[in-house]
This record gives sequence, structure tokens and C-alpha cells, in this order.
Amino acid sequence: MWTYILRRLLAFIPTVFISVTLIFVFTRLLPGNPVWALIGDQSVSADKIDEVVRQMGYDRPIWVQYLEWLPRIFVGDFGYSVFYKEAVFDVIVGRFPVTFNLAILSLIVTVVVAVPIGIIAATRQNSWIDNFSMATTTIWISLPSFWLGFLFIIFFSVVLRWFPSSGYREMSFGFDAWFSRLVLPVLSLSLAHIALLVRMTRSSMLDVLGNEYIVTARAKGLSEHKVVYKHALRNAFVSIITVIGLIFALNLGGSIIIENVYALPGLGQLVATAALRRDYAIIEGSMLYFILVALLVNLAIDISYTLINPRIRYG
Amino acid sequence: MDDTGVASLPGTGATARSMSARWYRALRLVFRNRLFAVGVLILLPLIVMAVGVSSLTSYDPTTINTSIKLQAPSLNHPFGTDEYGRDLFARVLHGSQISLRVAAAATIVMAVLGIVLGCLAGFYRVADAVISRIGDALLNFPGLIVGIMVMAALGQSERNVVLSMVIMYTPRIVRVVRASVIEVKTIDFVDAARVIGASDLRILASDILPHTIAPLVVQVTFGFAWAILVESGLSFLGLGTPPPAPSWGNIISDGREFIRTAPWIMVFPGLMISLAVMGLNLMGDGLRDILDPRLRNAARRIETSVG
Amino acid sequence: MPRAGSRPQLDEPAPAHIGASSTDGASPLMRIKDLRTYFHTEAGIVKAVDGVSLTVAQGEILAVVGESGCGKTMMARSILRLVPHPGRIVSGEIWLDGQDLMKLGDREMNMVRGNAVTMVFQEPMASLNPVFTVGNQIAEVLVAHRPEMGRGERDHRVIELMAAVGIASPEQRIGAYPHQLSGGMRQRVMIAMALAGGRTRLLIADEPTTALDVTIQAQILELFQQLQRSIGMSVLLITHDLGVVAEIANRVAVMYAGSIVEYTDSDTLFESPGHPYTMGLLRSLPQRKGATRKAPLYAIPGSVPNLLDLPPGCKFQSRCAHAVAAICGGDEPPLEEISAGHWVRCRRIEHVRVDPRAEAGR
Repeated sequence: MWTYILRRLLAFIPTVFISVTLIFVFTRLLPGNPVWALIGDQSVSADKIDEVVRQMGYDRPIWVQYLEWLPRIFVGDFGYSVFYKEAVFDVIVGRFPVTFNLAILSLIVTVVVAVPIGIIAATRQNSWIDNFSMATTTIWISLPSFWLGFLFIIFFSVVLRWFPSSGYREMSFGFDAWFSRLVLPVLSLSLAHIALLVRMTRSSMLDVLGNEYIVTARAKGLSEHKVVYKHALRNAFVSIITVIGLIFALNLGGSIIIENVYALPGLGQLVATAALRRDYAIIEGSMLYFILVALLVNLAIDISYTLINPRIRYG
Repeated sequence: MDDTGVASLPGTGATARSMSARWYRALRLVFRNRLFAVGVLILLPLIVMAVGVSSLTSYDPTTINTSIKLQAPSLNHPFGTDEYGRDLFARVLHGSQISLRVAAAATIVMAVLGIVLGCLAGFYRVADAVISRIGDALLNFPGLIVGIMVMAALGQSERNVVLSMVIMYTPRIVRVVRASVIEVKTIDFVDAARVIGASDLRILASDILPHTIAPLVVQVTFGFAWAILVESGLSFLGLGTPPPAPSWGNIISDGREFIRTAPWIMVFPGLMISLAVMGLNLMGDGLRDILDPRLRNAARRIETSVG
Repeated sequence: MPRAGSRPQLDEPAPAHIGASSTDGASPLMRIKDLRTYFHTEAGIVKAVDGVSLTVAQGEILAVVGESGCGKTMMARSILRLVPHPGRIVSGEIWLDGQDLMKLGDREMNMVRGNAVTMVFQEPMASLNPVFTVGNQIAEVLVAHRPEMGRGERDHRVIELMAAVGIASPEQRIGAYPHQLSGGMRQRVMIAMALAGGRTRLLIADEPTTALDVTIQAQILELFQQLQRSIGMSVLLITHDLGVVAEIANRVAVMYAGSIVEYTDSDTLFESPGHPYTMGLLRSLPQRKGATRKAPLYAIPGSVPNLLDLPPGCKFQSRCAHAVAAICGGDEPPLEEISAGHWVRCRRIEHVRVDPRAEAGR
């Protein structure tokens, strides 16, 4: 088992390097001089621009820039944002809790709702539950999340007046204030993912239920309950956990749009505004942040396989 | 190996007549699948809308007429009017052209690029090391972040939207094609062709490519659906097709301020997006069912399992 | 293998009337009547089991022989009602201890499975759940069918069972995962699982030795015979290997395309087979001695018919040297008892019998 974990950790390092390098490529090598963006469209003299370029080091050869940039990244120095007048790292850390709340809550809701439905759909193949969930999931994954978000706002906020339509309150303002502002965002973010997880759970359960050892379990006279929830589910775990990791990543990505819809001051909103303003430092920092979180989650899932699969655990 | 195995190998010289007969039978089989048929039924009106715009409405999407602004849907204006008094039905119709066009362009490019890179990655180990690593790294980025980055760097234009979508989705197609190539690469008839002296390109084209078509078509269909969603998402954020082009995402973005006073501005374009994506997703699901070789030979499979 | 005297107890002592051979007239253990299992596919109906009737006597090893696709596995699964979708048992009766298994509800059927009637499968690696230890999987049977046993008693029993089926050092192996054991040991684990309930009357073994080495195969077959002798257990042995049949079977049923074509005791089958298919099977065995040793290996001409597209009449027609369209077409021939306990499904028995070496010249 430990060799497996070690190998995974070792493989993690080049993956991080490649991803981080890709970010560098995107921010430095794409046409569109970052300096122009920073300065804006003001009519500044060419000399002044050259000066700024030299100051920020954009005139040095690309590989020099890269080698200087890389170690900075790993100590958390993501640069400085002209728009926020703060270190990029601090801006990101400040926004982090909101997105984290959204992503985790959404993940919990998604798993709790979707997995049982997926299991039932698989065990009662072709029943009305199965057909109904298959039909509705196709619909849910087709709806654009921002549109769904607005529909919820119209319905629950404007018409029914159950929830506020925007903004965020921390827990310190009271549970109700915090919760009521997260209900709609979590719902909008989760619906498509619930649909996805239902399908994948169902499909992986069906796969597992087609295996020979399930026939053996039935031949032993075990109750259907034992067959499904002990024998089948345990084997489907691997796929289900993989999808959960995927959903967390989707939540991170989805937060970009949902936070925009509900005006939540999180990382997603940060990236979207930064993109509009061409605040490259923030864009770069956020991308780094997102990718590192996504990769760490992948790694955690990978390692959790060892706990589940005895072949890896005991060789 | 049963007898029919020989006839289905590629390149065994079927006559022209039997080829077209096979196409006809294939099409009939495809449409028998309910999922696919429903998907096409949903998609067809949208395509008709996009193509027949001028015959469906007499209003110009850019005509400003503030006297009739923010009107609810009516017979005259089936989708209502926006804050400038523009007819929304006309805007949505034009939007369909834009959204579908951008998504289609991206889909075609990513399909072609995906095939080329996928074949290279599947066939040559060195190419695989590079292509797969970069592809996987790209896929690790959550959500639209890569697209946002590209749009921020390159500026808003239709072409850049297509480019960002290609960068984001092509790795998925490469994966699928590569997997098919690897699957087939090991089967004997490829080695046999090599022994005869066929060049790599020839082997790729005539022997391997046909086996990649099935999963490729499925993935490309889903890719088209994805592209429509992403184009609207980017436009909604202000980073997509540049205004004043009435792409569906732009219309929704415009309608934000009037969510309480004129919700219809946002409802209809979103509905169109949902229908288009749903139609394509259903088609993709249907195609996947049809093209799954395991399902096709269900009867044969049962025979071997009856023991 | 541990010898008879030193082996721990496998089971409850056999009731007095078990242990008789099939010829002494004791009532049969299980009687299958006209079993039909069909698969409704998009391409048509596959009649995997098409009117199979047979009897398993107490303490008897009955072998069911046939090529792949003849329906023997599906027949075995039908007995325990484990037919996968889209298959269904369309009709038939399976009488065990005065009860028709087909009429039992699911819960009652679960009390029969793993208990009175148990099954072992061909591929033990695929048939054992990879994420649970073998000890756990054997103990499950006890949990399900012997709920009165406490934890300690159960663990003890599991070790006993593993030893009885010939697994060395069972105390150490109890916590092993399937992938950590060899093929032969995995199959023994399956047999231990099949015997765990302690009330096994019939063990259905579906190609139990096909995936194993020849030496292990011999040991497993030996184990079956031991069980037959010591506790009077009956075995329904599904196989395609005539060698296995010759080793341990008391009676044999030959299946072809969903029907039984010959049904008799083992000796008669090898010495004077009645059905052309059986003769073909015997002829295709490689000969070590005799005139045919240097001749090319014989194979029955043609191939198994497509179960979706069976011709009317005798299913073996297209491959039979003795077939005559007028006699063999039309209805399917019935199983007829041509001599005591010897049943053959063929209308041209006399002709075939008279001229059994007709194919010698081909």
C-alpha cells in the first residue's frame, strides 16, 4: 500500500509542474501585452510603457521570467494587484471562505440526494422511478446554471419571497442569515450535478450488479438487501468516489457563474471581474489557486482508493 | 469466430450498391432509437428557426423603439420587448444563428483536431507522452477558467470564443479517439497490414479510423451541446460573443437588471439554450446506445452465456 | 487431502435413508419436469432451456454434458431461479422434498439457496467478491442460514469447513482476500461456502474444474466423491469434459441446443451410446491406442445452430450422418427409453444402433 501512495505522490509533482507551467503560458505568452491591460487605454508615451515593462521584468527572455516566477509561486507570492492595492494572495485568501462554503454545502447536498436515487434506479431497473429519473436527469443537465439561478430568484425570491436574492452573510451574523442566502445558490449549483451523479451511480451499480460474485451472493440465499447494500455497493464505491471528486471540481468551476448570479463575494466572482478588468495578477493567482485545489482533491481521491481496494492495500 | 466476422472487416471490397444499402439500413436503425428520435425532434425546430429567420419574423433585432419598451409577450411580440423596445423574438431568432454557428464552428474544429491528435497519441508513444500530459492538465482546470483566461488575454470576438472552446474541449475528444486507436492497434489485422508493408498513414486511415468513428460521433455530439452551454456562459459573464450581437447568453445578461420588472427577457433565450442542449444530449445518448457494440450483439451474447 | 478418519466433521450425520444408490428405488432427491427458460431479446426468442426433464437421486452424481451454448448453465441457474434478464423461466416444475421450487416466494427461495441446494461456479476469481475476506464470505452463509450460531462458534465453524475442503492452515487463511489465494484454493473456498449451511442436499457444480490445473481438478473431483460417500450429498455436475464425466459421474445427461438428447448411466454412455451426437462426442476424444490413433482428430461436422433460428424437428439434423428429412423433420423427437434407464431422443435409433461405425469411412 505504501508503495502505491508513494508512487501517487511522486506522480503528483510533475502534474503540478505541467499545470502551473500551462498557467504561465496562458498569462505570459498569449498575445495581448499585460502591460497595456494594466495601464488601460490611456495615452501614455511609449517611453513610459517601456519603463514599466522593464520594471516588471517583461522584457527579459521568457525562460528567465519562468525560472524567476516558479519559486515565487510556491512560497505563495502571487504578485500584486493594482485594482485591489493588495497582494494577490491576500485577496484570494479573503475570498476563499465564501466559495468553500458554497462548494462543500453543494457537495453534501448532491451526494445525499443523488446516491440513494441512483441506487434505487439501478435496483429497480425500468420501473417508474428508473424511467422518471433518467428522463428528468437529462433535462437537468441541459439547463444553463445561470438561467436556472435566475429562475429560482424569480420564483423563490421575487414571487414567493422566501429567500433573499443575493449577498452573503457569514455565520457570525446568525445561522438564519447565513443559511437563507446560501439555499438558492447551492440549489442552482447542485441540480445539474445531482443529475450527473444519479446517472453515474446508477450506471456503476448496474455494472457491479452484472458481476459474477453477485450471482454467487444470491446463490448463497442472501437477502436482496444484503446483496445490494453489502456486496454491490462496496464495489461501486470506487466509481462513486471518483465522481464525487469530479463534482467538487465542478463546484469550483460552477462557482464562477453562480457567484456572479447571486452576487456572492467569492473566488468565482473574483475571477470573473478580474477577467473583465484584465487584472492579470488576480487571474493568474486565481487560476493557480483553483488548479492546486483541484489537483489536491484528485490526489486525495486517488489515495483513498487504497483504503477501498484490498488488492492495492494488501498487494 | 463466426462466419460473419470476415464480411465486416474493413476494406473487403463491398460493391457500391451494398454500401448505399448499408447506409440506408444504418439510418433506419438510428432513427428507431427513441432517445435519438426525440432529440432530433427537439433540435429540428431550432435549426429551422436559425435557418429560416427572415421568413419567421419581420422585425429587425436592432431596431430601437423606446415607446414600446419592456412589453410583456403578446401576439405582436411573442417574446416581448427589451429595454430598448427591440423585439425579443427577432433577437432570439438571430441569437440562434449566432449561438449555433459559434458552437458548430468550435465543434468542427475540435473534432478534426481531436482526431488528428488522438490518432497520433494512440499510435506513437512519444506523441502520446506529450499530448496526453498536456490534455490531462487542461482537463484538470475546473469550469470555464481556461476559457475566461483566453478571452481575457485575447479580447472578445467570435473567433476567440471558438478558440477558447476548442482549447477546453479538444482534450476530451483526444482521449476518446486515443482509446479507440489503442484498442484496435493490438488486434492482429493491423499487424497483418504492417507485414504487407502498408504505411502507417494507410493503416490509420483504412483500418483504425473506422473503429474510432462510433465513440467519436457520440463525444462530438455531446461536445456540441457543451459548446452551446459554454458560449452562453461566457457571454453571460461578458467574456463571450461581443455585444451588440444578440447571442442567447448576451440577451440573458442584458435582461439581468429587469429580472423583477421584465423577467421574460431572460426566460426565453434560456429556454432556447435548454432545448438545444437537451436535444443534442438526447441524440448523444441515443447514439451511444445504438453504437454500443455490446448491445448490438445482445442475442449472440446470450447464446454464449447460456452455457 | 486429509484422509477420511482424520477430517473434522463436515456436516450433520446423514439421515438414515440417504446413501442409497440410484438403482434401489428410493425416491429421487430432485425431479425437474419440463423446464423451459427463454430469453426475449430484440432479435427474437432464444430457447436456452427447451423442455428439460431429469431426476437426481439421493447421493448420486449426475453429470450434464454439452458444448458451449447448449443451455446447461442456464438450466443449472434455473433450478435456483438465478436467471438473468432478459431471460425468464417460462414453465416447468422442480420438485425437491415434496415442494415445487418454482412456486416458492422470494424469501422462501432464499431459504433454499445456500442451504438445501447450493452452487459453485466456474471462475472462482470472478465469483468471489474481491473486497471481502474469504472468511467473511463463508461466514455469511452461516449468518443467513444458521442464525442461532454466535460469533465465536461461527468463526470456529468457518475454520473447520476450510480444513474439511482441504485448505491448509485455515486459521491464517481466514482473513485472506480472494486475490491472495491460488485458483485451487479459491475453488475450495467456494465449495466451503456451498457446504457451510450444513444441510446441503444438492450441490450444483457449474464447470467447477474448467479453470483449474489438472492436478487440482483431480483433487476437487475427489472431494466431491468424498462428500457423496460421507454425507450422501448429491451433485449435479455441469461440464463439457467427458473425462470428468468418466471419473465420477453415476448418471449422465447429454444436452444439445436446449434439450436433453441422451440420459443414462455413465457406463452405458461410454460403452453403448444411443444418440448420434453422443457418439460424435466420444469419437472426437483423442485416442491413445488403437487403429484410430494415427488418424486425424475427428470433429462433428457443422456447428451449433443459432438458437434464434432453429429448424423444425430434431435439432441435430444438420450435423447428423443418419438424418432423413422425412423422419427427422416435422416435430422434435421425444425422449424414449430404449432400455432400462437409458433414454435417447432420436427416431432413427434402430438404424443408428445397427450401424454405429457408419462414419468410420469419412
